[in-house]
Amino acid sequence: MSIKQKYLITILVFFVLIFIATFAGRYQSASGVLDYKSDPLFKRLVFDIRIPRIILSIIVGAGLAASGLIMQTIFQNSLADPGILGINQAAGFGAALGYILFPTSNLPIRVIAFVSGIFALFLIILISRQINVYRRLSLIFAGIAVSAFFSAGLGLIKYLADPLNQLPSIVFWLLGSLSTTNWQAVAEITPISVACIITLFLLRWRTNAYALNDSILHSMGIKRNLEIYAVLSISVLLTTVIISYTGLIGWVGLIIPNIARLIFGYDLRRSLPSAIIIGAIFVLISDTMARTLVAGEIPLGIITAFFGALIFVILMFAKGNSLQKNG
Amino acid sequence: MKNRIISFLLLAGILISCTGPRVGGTEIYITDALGNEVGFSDLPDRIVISGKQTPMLANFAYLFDRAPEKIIAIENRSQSSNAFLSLIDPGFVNKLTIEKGAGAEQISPSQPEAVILKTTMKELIGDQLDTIGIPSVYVSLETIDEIYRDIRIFGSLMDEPQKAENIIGFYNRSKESIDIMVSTVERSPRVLLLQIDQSEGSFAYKVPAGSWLQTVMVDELHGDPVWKKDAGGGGWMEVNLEQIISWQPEVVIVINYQGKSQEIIQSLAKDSVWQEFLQNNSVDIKPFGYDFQSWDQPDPRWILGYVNLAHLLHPEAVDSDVVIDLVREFYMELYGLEPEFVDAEIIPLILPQLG
Repeated sequence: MSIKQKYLITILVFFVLIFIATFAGRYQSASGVLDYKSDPLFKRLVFDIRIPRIILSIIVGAGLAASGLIMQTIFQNSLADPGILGINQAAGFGAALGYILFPTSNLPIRVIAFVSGIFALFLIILISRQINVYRRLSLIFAGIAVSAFFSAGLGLIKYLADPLNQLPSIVFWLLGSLSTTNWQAVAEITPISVACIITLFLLRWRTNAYALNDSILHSMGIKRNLEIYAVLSISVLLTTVIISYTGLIGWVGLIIPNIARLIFGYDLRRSLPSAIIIGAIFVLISDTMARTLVAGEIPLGIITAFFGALIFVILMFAKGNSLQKNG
Repeated sequence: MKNRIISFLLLAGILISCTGPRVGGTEIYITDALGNEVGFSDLPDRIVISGKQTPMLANFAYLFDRAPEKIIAIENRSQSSNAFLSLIDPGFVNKLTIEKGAGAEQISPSQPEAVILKTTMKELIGDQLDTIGIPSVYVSLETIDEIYRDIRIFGSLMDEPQKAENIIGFYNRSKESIDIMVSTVERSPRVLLLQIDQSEGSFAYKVPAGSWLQTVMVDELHGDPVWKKDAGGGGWMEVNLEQIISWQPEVVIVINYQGKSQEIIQSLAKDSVWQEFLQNNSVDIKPFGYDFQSWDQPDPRWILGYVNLAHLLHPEAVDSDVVIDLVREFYMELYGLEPEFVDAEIIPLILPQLG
């Protein structure tokens, strides 16, 4: 199958899923899904609850997958997603701290989440450079340490938070769900996330080159460190904006880039757009299941972790088999 | 042989000295909610309330006259009964506060002679306390029958068994009269009890477990708890607005543990989907009673929750005056408050919620 055909199928699946998700839900109109205009409540539900949630799940999936792929490419490590590196936990810590310091405003919460994410990235790079082991491994070690550090910080904030006024907001956010999505949330999250995704998309060719060695980069006129840090910062911003609204949703940034590479190859020019679409599909399916499967809302993080872990094992087998065939 | 006898006597002496002297005998036994017989030489004078749901446990303890002198420390939890207990016990502010999540190590410095815990806290705290010789007395307080049994446990600990019987008698009389009032109602409205938290214009909704007191109360008051067959047994279940609408409730009763039910109802009225839902389906939305704490919980106020719910579901059978009268009786009879105090400090908190 050609790359073009693969793209066409992926995009087709994406649009079919949007259609299904729009009309799938716990409430069904008595007059049928296509005659929604005769049921004003159903119409409101679709336009004010389902569509904003579908838009946000697409943004969340696309954003986390794009961010994960960029980090994996730059660090040349297929495990280096924002979750494993501790950036998600840092964003979570920052958002919780924001709830404590600025409980009535969203902007400072997102700013503190971003600053924490950038700080985590800085720490990871600093620590990994000091660890005298294989570079890919040192990054994971540093990520584990940073992740544990910010998880502990998050636990401490929960412990110290005012149990009546602050803790409920933090717990509310930690649910890791899109269940409270409305148009206001879409308006807050979408512009900055889409801007980040577009920027990463436009820089995909240059980001590809960061995986090359320094002398080739120099001959291409690319200032490695400055540009790499700029691209990484955009990835962190994208992750933290999403995490500060949705709570901790894992596995998307780890699994989706690997799937995209498996199907579309390692070249970011192909794998990035495909990761964006596949990430959107993954979270859209997960969130539709979260809100429709049972009467209770299943936390999105549980579903992404379940399917993420399953796909991870399948990918490991697939990679193992291909290595055996080639080797 | 002589050496063996001397060695044996020395060893026996060492063993005897290790076991220590037995001071006095255990004369009083209290059977707790786990069926344990907890022995005391004298009834405890220094009691700590720890673990989960301490505000409710403290409220139960304070139904007894000796609680202010016997309760020395209470663990800090997400809800608090401090505002109420400070009103009825001037010395309450001086009581020790144990940090949330405390274990035996944090509890032991207050030198308790007994620690009251929920049954679910046995493995987390109770077993540790047993290891260091501090007796734990367990209560459960999950159903009305358990509440009655556990009130007797509190009564034994406080050495006020007759007061325990009086409290149970009050509950029985009140519940019976409410049950008689609602026995004539002709139809069971479709009811949804919903815990709602609000954060920056978005809402999180939860329904109680099917076996919980809240669900049982709706059942007993001739309401149809629409969430019951879908709710699991594990606790509050998060649901979304679509599910709420698909249950087609006629009455939605809002619970909020920060006392913001009325504020939340006002916010919901501005939400476009809620507006459509409430208007087109003629749904009544009302706050669950709250004074210092929400009345839906396994707290001494459960009977106020019961009468309040009866009024919300069947206003034609249970007038708001019935609720106010029971609130007066409850605080005067069970907590010994003066009528003027109840009218000045408590009734004004309730009136706006009764509409």
